[in-house]
Amino acid sequence: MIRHFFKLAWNRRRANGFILAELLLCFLTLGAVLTIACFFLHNWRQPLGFEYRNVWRLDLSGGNRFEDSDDGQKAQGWARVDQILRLLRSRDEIESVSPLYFNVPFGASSMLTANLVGGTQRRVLDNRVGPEAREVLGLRLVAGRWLEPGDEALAFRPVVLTRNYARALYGDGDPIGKTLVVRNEDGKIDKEEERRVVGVVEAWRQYGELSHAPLAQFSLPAWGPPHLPPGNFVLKIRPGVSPAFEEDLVRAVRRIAPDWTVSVSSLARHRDRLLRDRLLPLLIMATVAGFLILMVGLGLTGVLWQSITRRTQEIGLRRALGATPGQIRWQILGELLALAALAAGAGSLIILQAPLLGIFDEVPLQVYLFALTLAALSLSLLVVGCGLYPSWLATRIRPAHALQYE
Amino acid sequence: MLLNYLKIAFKVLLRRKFFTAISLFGIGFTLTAILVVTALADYALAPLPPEVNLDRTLQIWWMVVRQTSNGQTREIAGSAGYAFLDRYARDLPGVEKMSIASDPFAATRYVDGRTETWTMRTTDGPYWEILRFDFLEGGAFTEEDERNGNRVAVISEAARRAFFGDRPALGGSVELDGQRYRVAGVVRNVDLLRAAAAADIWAPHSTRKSQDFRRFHFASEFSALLLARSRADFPLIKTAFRSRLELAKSQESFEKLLGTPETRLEQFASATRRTDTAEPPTRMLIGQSIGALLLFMLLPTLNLVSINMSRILERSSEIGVRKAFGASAGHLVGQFILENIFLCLVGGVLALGGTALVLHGIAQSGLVPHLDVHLNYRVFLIALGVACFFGVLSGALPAWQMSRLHPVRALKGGAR
Repeated sequence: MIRHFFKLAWNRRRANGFILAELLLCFLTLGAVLTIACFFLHNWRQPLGFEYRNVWRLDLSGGNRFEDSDDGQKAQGWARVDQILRLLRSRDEIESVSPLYFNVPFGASSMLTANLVGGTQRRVLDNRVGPEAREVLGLRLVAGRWLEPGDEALAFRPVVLTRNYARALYGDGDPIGKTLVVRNEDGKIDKEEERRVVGVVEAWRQYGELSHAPLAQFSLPAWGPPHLPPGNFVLKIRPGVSPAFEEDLVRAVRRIAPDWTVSVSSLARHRDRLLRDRLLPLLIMATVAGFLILMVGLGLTGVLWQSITRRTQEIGLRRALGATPGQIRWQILGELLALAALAAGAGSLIILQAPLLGIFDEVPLQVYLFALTLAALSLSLLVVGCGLYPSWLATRIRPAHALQYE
Repeated sequence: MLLNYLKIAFKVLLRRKFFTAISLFGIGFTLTAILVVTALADYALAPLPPEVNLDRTLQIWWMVVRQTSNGQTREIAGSAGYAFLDRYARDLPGVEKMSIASDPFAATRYVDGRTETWTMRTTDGPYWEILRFDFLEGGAFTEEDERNGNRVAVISEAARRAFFGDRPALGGSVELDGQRYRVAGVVRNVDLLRAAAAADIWAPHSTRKSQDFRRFHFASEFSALLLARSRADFPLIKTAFRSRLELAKSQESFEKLLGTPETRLEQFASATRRTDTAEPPTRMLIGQSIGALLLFMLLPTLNLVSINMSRILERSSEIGVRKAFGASAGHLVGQFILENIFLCLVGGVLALGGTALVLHGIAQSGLVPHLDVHLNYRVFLIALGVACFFGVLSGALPAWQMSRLHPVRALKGGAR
């Protein structure tokens, strides 16, 4: 039966060639949009790794925080940072505070390091945080311990990894106590002080809920001159603190550092902006794709309608030989579904080149498979929808009338 | 003859209204999508106020630097710094006026415990001569204000509404990031696509809290605007700047120094791919845009072709008669393509309406603040061109198919 449909489709290959090409392009469009949507959905369901509600960020920028500032300026910078930290810790509205270097949740700028993982050079977020960061951001420890005050005195430098980084490095083995070996591109070991894994946290999705989970590591920053003082802080705010506290805080910090630019904002606000920035392009794409598919659907209906009126004799003959209206309708729809299946098959082969060649390697294979299945289903629905009216017309053909035609 | 063809085309279009409607929907939607993108691109590249001199303006905004200091090699790619532009981009030959302006940054103020974020820029005096803002009140600040560190600012209409209600702002003052500025002028709102101008508050560089920016060569978010005497001087300016880079390399121990004054189109091109070459990949950008356009048109074209194919078969008896009476294949092809172009032009008119609606919707949505793009004659001409191109593209194959129809068969009803 199914082979018969393909044969019928092949017999009218010239007319069907165009329909097939259209369906293929439709499938590619559907596949691309649905893959992105499914990828977002897949990411949305993964743990974020940190808590953003009631967390604010405080950012400082100004001349003597830059790397090319001289020692005197650095010393002044550090003195101010200490003073600001004391101020933040003294306020009742703030539960806890941690300094950060660049890598703030939902933030755009990031400090990265690279490591050779599984044969490829991967970028790793290099989070320099205070021991309080776990409390401020509600980081969930899944193994080992977190960074503690006094860790600086150890003979090695303790590091905490995210679960995905630990798994990438050590597979299913226990990462705790292992030495973190950093290799550069040509496989040589980067010689630095010894770093040892002391703990593993669930995740660090700095780029938000819709993005893939980056690899990340946490360690304590080198504190005091001649190093660079921190420019970002995260503050856990007691629930119910009025937004007016923000202004208060900014004024107090400005009094300490009058020539620095000081800004305070809630992580929730940055999250909203990031979500909008990610969803808007998808929304535009989906709208355009929707119109394209509507257009193809209408076109297909017209073409089918036309072809039914031209196949009157063929259908009349089948009716005369005893085919029921149901069988006629099934023949028309079956031919269409055969075409849709061909288009979906060819389209899937094209789209699956992306994971096979590793073009977007953050997107897991199952996302592609799920999205392509969805796309194939929607395409089938589309062709059946387009074929309903024309196939109904076909069932109305009266055999005597049709055969008289010649 | 032509009029006759059009008459026939019109009659045919009216005969099967459903087909005509779906064809027009397809054409209208396709052209609308293309026109919206074209109108936005045209708007971004056109010399519109306040960038009235965009045609002869170059901007230095992106540099790549490699430097070794204290045994550490650093490579920075990003905006330029004030010190570098001040030292090496001034007095280039062919340049009439030169301005250093900061990139937009966020400045906050607090109203009743709420945070309000405004986009701010610091600039110098010549900025206001290269860009011609539309002043509603007062005027620009001057190079004098920049030299003396006067706390003055120019604000946008939107900022005036927020700070002063609808009262005049001149002589009043605004407080941002804990600093007070006297309002020197109010300008009409500027949207993001007027890239060198967009902001809500403008103040002299010297009012910045920290004047350390004057020491930094790179990555401190400044760019230079160069107003050339004419477009013809662009190559001269670029060459001169390249030799300035060589000079800087020898004076300041940079190992690598890339960057070039760019037109707006070149800026878009180098933003799409930050290559290590000095020349922005403008050709590549244009090529890619045309490629994307053709790719987008592929599906609508196929759709229209298959609709046309089935329509032609319906008209086979007409074609049979014309062939029997001696019409040549070329004639028929010409007639059909003309009919199709006619259809596409009708679709193009619909698309102009659709584009106006979409642009209005974008302006209303506030997605890009203050953006208000309108149709103009350039977009209209492009619409005309694209519609004709689309008509030929989707009419050629069916027309050729039709012209090959055998008259006897065609007269019989044109099966296969």
